[in-house]
Amino acid sequence: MFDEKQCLQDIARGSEAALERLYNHYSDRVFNTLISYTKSYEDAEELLQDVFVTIYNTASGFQFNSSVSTWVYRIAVNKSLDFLRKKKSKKRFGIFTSLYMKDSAEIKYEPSDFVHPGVELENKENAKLLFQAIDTLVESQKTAYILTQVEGLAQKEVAEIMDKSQKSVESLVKRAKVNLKQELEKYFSE
Amino acid sequence: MGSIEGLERVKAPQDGFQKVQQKLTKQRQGLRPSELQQPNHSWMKVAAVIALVVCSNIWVVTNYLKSDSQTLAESGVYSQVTTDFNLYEND
Repeated sequence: MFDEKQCLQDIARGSEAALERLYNHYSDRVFNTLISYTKSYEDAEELLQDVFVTIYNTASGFQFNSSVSTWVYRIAVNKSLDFLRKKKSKKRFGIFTSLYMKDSAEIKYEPSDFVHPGVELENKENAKLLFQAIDTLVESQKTAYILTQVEGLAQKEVAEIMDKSQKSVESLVKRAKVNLKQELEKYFSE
Repeated sequence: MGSIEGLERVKAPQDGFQKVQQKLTKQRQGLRPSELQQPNHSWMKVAAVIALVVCSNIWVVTNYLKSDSQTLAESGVYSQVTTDFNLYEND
């Protein structure tokens, strides 16, 4: 039986072996969440390392007010959102510099052909469009949708991760679905 | 939207934890991994813009002061000229 509390206490004391145990327990789940946000295997891999470095650095400050799982997911979500914000501002800055510099290689276009590696083969085309549409959602709707619908977490757990009430998570998911439907209609009406 | 039904969980990279350990080692050495991988020179662009603004302001202010002192000098010469050729005072 994996004792999360003991594991985290060991990490707080600087044990890398305990960190490895936590990594083995959570890495797959965290990696899947990260890949849903970043839409890139490489970026998700980089962020996965950052998540566990942050866990190692901040374990001593964990108060056990929430479950370890909630805390780990919260770090992963925050890292993902930070990554997307930085990417967005880099893209904006790239457009600006490209006006002045001919050889600017700053603009990196989104890989529009991203398909989540876990999607079944017959659904790949539709899933590609769905992940493009998820990108258009605002942060809170995106997080609520990814965690409940893609990762399959319970609304209660998502509410704890997002530090919101269960009701508001429910309404965020509802609004996300409406927005996604509108966005997807653009593709299918053509 | 049903396309993600039956979505399978992807395995995290196999050597992932070794990379975490590498980052922790670098951190202990006092170097941030992101700094090691790619030096960030974006501050130079900001510094260049600030320098440009400061220089152009200095240029404008010095030009303004120069033209001001020239006007003063010229107006002094002019008053001398008028007194020299004042016909009424010579009488």
